[in-house]
Amino acid sequence: MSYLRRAGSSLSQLVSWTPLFAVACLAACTSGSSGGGRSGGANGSASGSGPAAAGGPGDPLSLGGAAASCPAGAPVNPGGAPMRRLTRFELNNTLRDLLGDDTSPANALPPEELGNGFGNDGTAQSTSRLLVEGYDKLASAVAGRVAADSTQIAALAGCQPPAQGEEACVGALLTSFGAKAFRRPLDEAETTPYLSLFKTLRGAGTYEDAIRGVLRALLQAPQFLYRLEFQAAAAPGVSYARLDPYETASRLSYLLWGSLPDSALFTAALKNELQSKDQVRAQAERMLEDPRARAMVDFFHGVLFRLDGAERLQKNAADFPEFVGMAPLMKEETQRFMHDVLWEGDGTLTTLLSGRYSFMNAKLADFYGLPGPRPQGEAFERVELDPTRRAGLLTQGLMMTLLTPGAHTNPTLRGVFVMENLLCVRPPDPPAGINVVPPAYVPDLTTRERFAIHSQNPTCAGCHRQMDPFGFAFENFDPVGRWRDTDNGKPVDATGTIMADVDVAGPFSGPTELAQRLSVSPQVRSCMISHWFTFAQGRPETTADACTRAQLETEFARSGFKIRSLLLALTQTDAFLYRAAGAP
Amino acid sequence: MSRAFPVSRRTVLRGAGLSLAVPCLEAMSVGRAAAAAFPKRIVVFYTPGGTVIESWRPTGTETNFQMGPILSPLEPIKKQITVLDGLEIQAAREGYGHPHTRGMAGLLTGLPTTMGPYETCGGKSGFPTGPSVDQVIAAKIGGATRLPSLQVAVRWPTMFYGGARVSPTNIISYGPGGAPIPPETDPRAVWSRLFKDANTSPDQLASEHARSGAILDTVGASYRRLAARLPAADRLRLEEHAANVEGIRASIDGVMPSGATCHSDFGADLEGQFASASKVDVCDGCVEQSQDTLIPRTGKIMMDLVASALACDLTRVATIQWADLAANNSFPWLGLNDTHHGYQHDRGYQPDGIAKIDTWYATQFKYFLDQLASYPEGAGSVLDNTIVFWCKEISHPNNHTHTEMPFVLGGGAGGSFRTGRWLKSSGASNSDLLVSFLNAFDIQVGTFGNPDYCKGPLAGLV
Repeated sequence: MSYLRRAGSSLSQLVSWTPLFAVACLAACTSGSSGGGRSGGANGSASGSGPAAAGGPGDPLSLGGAAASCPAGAPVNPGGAPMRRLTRFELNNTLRDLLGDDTSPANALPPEELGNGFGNDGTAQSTSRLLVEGYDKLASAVAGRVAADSTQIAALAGCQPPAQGEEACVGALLTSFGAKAFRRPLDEAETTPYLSLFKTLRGAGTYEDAIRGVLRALLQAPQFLYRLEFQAAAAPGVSYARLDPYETASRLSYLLWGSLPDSALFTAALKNELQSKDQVRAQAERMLEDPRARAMVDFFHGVLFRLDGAERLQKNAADFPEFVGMAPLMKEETQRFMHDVLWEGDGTLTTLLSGRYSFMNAKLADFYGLPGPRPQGEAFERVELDPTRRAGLLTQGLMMTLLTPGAHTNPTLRGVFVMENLLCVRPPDPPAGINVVPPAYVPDLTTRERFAIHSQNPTCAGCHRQMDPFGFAFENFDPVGRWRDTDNGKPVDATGTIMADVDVAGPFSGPTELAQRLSVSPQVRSCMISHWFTFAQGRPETTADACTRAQLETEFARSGFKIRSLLLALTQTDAFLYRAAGAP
Repeated sequence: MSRAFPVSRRTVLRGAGLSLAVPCLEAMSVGRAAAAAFPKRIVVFYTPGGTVIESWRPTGTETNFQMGPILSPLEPIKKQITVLDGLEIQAAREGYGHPHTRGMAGLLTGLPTTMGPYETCGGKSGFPTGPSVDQVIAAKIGGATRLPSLQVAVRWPTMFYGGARVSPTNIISYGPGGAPIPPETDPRAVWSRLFKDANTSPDQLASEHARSGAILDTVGASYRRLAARLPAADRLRLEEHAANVEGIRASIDGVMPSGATCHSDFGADLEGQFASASKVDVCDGCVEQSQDTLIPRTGKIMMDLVASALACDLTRVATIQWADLAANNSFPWLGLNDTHHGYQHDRGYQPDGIAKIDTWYATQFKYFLDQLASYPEGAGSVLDNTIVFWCKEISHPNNHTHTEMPFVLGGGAGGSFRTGRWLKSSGASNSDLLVSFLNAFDIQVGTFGNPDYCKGPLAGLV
């Protein structure tokens, strides 16, 4: 709570002469303590509460994760499980793995609501006419590509109409292809409408036309577009149920691959071999070896670190002529670094945030002005970095560029990113009525000097003294991620004190020191668990998840903070294996 | 030669040999014979970022006024214009997130933003909790047309910070409960939604429609059947999906455009690149970027498509979003070397740049009204029966205020509003205006959005 105390005390000193502004900011900066008001109550209003009743959805938890504890012998508590619709990422993967369609047709759909950030938040997904039309158009196009090739139709059904009869082949198609698309075998009530549809369409067209129509219906069915989990009933006396084997298979495949289960998973489901935690874990271990797991981790980081589409980032060429063509190289650098850490290296969050090496080609090394021996050609090579300048992901050119809209560095935005995405602390909203614009650019002042207004102006100070220092640490990086010792001709001051109530608080000097500290911060580790949990479950963490969280914390720590181990641990929790089940 | 199109079940379009020169509605009016009135329509025309009010504001009196420099392109058609001066987006006094976002949310809903996860570059926010006025109108009159409503955007989204997702920073239309309705950004897709049947022979069309109908019936039923087995929250979502499938199903054999008379043939206009940002470059503070240079072309085709959709009665409710509130797009064809937001304040408030941008938008607004006027309807034109609401989410580009909103109405609104006026409504709520819109469509409500910020229909408009 010292964060709030600090904000409050700094303001109270000023109240006497700027009462209106101070009150406004006080409201904004402290409302987290009451969990309401304009700040969104995200600063820990719910932390400290005990676990909710088993099976209950629980209360929303602060972003920062939780001090909630898991008492020994606590009953299974899966928390809520809102129905999820496949995201564009998942739909593209699913169509690729189902039909070999690698055209990413879902990219034409309207974008998801941000929701939890990953677009897979069931409670945030809405349905518009445009979207539903888009599904029909997509299903129609994909079905058309399949049906254009009669051998593919035969292969999907495993059936030849001349030999076995058309209706038998449609039945076979529903049994084989249909079960893959729906991620579970279809029952008779499910197959009958498609058989009638086939007959109707066959009456007016060819066999292929009719199959195309059936595929168009299947590929926009709720069982295909949505993740449905309602099969198993709760046992007497409890309010939760173990997900059935097919649902478990889909949870695994959509978490680890962002796609549908493969045949090994389907077989395991069929044989009821996804029952024990060890069975689930063994599948997860196998799945993490698959390239699809890398694509999923890329997607996760793409969202969390805003890398998605970053290769297309451009800056005003008049401001930064050297930056032209650099964004794709920077994206490549970051991607290679992440892959190396996660899949070749020690796999830890620590190294991700503090590794003192990177990957560059000659052009990128020149752009950075990399000292010492540097790559000579187009190919990316591993380079060792000056440990006083760069350490880990945050200090890479791409991150610094992404966190700098426009032509001048903005410590607030860099700071807020670190607070929210790495520390899971949500800074309060600006006070009502304040005009939120960055301090105006002045040619002979450094950014640091311009942003001093934030700690001098009482309206701003209470909050900005929490946010801006994180950004000050990165002032050695210019708007396009190059190292700089001077800003507008004056020396860069990248020292300061983290004032926010976070475990990395205290004085710092320069970016690598802060990066280092973040890389071993328990709060950052806990925050990363929150992000992965949210992604895995398609919902925010709640107080109901106390035991799930405790388990994740333990496993992550035991592994030495390996992301891979965290992924495995995510498949072993109450939240992953069970769902709340009460009266239908 | 003239192409024949199937007779719709709602519109009696008799005889295939219609003259190409006759716009479809006039032709339909023959068939409808004594059908009393022409359909009334509403279009929201959104441009971001406030304006230079002193250059925007007319001079003179309510009925005898001269447009200011920014609105000067509208001078020749000012009899069909109502300059709405002095309204406040009062709902934006409350809510979460940056004033840009609160204004965007309150603009058509009269509601504040909620608490939520969306970055607004000034705190985070969620969506408003209720529908926007266009969707309430669409719910009442949209069933008569192929699309209940049509949302298009020209350069969308431009928000750099936080990614290209649906967010309160880029949505103006909301369905029931505040479900955000994203716009379509690809003119080809808009064309396809409206006119894809226009080049198909009647026989082929009939069989395709029968086929699509059977497929969509199966799809809709699959949602209904499954929904019944799910818990309430999930059930509602599948039912909503089902309702959309059924809406598409119902519109399949709805009104068909009648070929060239309805401007369904856009030919080469639909080829090549468009400005939609979501799938192309992310430009942060850039100028001279390919997708920005495509804005005029994309905007024109979108306006043409919407005008044609209204004229052909394929929809009666539309929104045209030129950008999102981030306005991170540039205007290289105007010789402006920064982004729109850059002129607002990213590089200091530059009123000359803003005025230039808004004057250009005024010419686009004029172009759109001219298109509507080019479709005869009865003794007048489609424009006479349409409300076109040019709006913004803030008033002062640098101070982010919601008072003195620079709003403009175009079109005759089917006689609902008195036009040709400079209506000063100092301090009145934009929600009052939204009530007036609803009343114009015979939706008799006294308030809309947050009732604390609504006093009933806007005084002096009718």
